[in-house]
Amino acid sequence: MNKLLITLGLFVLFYQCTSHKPKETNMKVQVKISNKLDDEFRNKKTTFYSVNIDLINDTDSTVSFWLMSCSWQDNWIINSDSVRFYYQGCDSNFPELKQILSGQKLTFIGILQVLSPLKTGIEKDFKIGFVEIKQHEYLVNSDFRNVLLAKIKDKKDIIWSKAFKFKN
Amino acid sequence: MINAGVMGGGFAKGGINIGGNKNGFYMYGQTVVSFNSPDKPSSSYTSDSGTAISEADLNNIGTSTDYVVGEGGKYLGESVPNYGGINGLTINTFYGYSASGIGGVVISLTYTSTTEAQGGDWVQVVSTDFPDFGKTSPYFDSKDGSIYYPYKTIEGNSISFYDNPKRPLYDAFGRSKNGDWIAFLSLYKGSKPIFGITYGYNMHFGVIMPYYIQVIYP
Repeated sequence: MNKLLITLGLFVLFYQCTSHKPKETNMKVQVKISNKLDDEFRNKKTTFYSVNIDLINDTDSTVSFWLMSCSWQDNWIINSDSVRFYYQGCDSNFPELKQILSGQKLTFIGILQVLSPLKTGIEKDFKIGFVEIKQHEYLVNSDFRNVLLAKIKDKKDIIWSKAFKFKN
Repeated sequence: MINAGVMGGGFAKGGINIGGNKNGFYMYGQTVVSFNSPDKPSSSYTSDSGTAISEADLNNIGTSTDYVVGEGGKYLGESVPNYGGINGLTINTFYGYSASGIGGVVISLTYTSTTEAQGGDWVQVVSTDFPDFGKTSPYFDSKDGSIYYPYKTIEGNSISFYDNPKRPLYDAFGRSKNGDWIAFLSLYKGSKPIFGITYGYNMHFGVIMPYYIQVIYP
């Protein structure tokens, strides 16, 4: 009887442990470095690469999140200070609620600027992360930039790509 | 011309062009997502409520300044307290920042009035000669004098406005870029301006200095 109770107890404990595991996100980020752009803008300090970033909704429901209407780069972070997004600026730039349907993806086409590529080296692995601002996390009249920075600081709801390299 | 306190300067032309949607968004498997398709230059526009506002109307905005919120540079890195009560205008936030080679300002305001705002239109005009590519509205191109008019008709008796204009602090060669960016935001009822607001920033050697916010009545 005791053995039966112990076995049942262990079973319940195991079930509770496994059922309370944090639910993994099913959003994915895929990065594809297309080509080097330094032929026209060759200089010793920086190198430019065009990049396609897929934000994939692998969940079985529609995902809603906030993005800036122009500077979509604000929602993306890079695991290195040597790499950053390059763009030419924005006017009329405000938060917009975007959706990706189940099984769909949103592709961001941008330019990455690699600072001091010789110092950075080509062996280092880089990652790009999407900072997800969920629908209920931004209220109109609040400061979207502060909401975003707080999430980045807390390292919360960031969906990282797999590691990638820059090719010379 | 529009009296918006525009200083000299401007942004250097240059940069990188890539193919496709200018803002770099594509949705696969369904409709292509298009953000901020560039407005065509025009000398007038028609609002949601059917009001036609011409450039001449815009220029008729008065020059008298009844209320000055602050001095240039004062708000760098800090939020402006609530300045509500000015014809129902509340400035929630106004500050400048720079990060990752990009600088700009954040402004948010709310306008609430049961009598004046209802059915009115906000019109925003930005004075800058850059960017050449990636023209997002609103935009005034000093090279050809074209003005782009984005607007939003007020629904009910309140409207919220948020803008985060920004520019790279350095060009593709790592040289710091200098310039001024000024926006002129005006509330219209019919074709008559009720009052306007100017805001903007000065970019100088990698430092962003927000301009004052100035409320201008006709």
